[in-house]
Amino acid sequence: MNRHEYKRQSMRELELLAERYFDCILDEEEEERFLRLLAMTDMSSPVIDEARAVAGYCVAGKQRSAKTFVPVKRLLHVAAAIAFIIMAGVGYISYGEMPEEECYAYVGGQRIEDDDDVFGLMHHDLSVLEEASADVGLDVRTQMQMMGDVLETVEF
Amino acid sequence: MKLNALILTIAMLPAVAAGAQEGLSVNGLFNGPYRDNVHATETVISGSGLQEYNLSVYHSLTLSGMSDEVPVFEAAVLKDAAGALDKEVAFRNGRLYYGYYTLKPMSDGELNRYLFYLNQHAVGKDKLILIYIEGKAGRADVKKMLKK
Repeated sequence: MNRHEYKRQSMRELELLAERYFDCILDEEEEERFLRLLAMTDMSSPVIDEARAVAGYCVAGKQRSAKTFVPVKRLLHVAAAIAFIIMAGVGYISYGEMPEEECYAYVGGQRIEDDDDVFGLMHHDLSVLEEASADVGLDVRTQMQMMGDVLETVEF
Repeated sequence: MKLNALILTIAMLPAVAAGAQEGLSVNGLFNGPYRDNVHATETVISGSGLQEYNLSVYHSLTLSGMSDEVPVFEAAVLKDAAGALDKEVAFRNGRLYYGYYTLKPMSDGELNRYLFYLNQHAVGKDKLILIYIEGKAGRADVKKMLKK
């Protein structure tokens, strides 16, 4: 490997280390080695220069370590989790307790899970009730009519 | 990883549905006692399937030709109906024949609860029907649903 190839490989390795430095996945030993290399080398590329600027900022004395430089990926994870919590909360507020999705019936001891069949059973139950409700309503109206007829004949 | 797991756990807590009929006497009739009975039909629907009715839970139990169960059902319904906000009832031959009750809402006050009861044995037929409904639908909406 000639000097030029060696330098290109080293630059690529340094850039890979820089990306891992920004993603906060270097352990302490790797980070120390990376910062040492940054300080000693004169290699330059946009990624390396940015790492050098950040590392320089850290070295300048602010009590801010590289691990507080929040990487984009972690921000996206947190944002997704927050969005999920907000959606769950909105669902809870708008609908109360979110019920489980269930649709089944037991008919003569046999479990049925076909949605159409289950809803058919529901509609059948409701139609039987509606018939009874209508009968009760008719009874009430009939009784009111009878009372009305009687009251018309009473002299006050 | 641990933080993500904690966040997801907290987010999932509201999604855990509590028992809808908890606190009601009729709860003892649903979810098991009659499921293996050849004369019984128990229907459970909850979730998005009921959205067109503005409801979240539908639970019914129909027994055919089991007149011995009438006192058990009637007692449970009358107990739960004692605190009903609204009722529409009819008695026949000394027995509760039809009941439509608006129960007190769930403790959080968000969802309405209704109970339907029909004892056809009181008029010489053979069905005993109990229905529990829960959701945002009002009383009038629920009555309209019967006619669909």
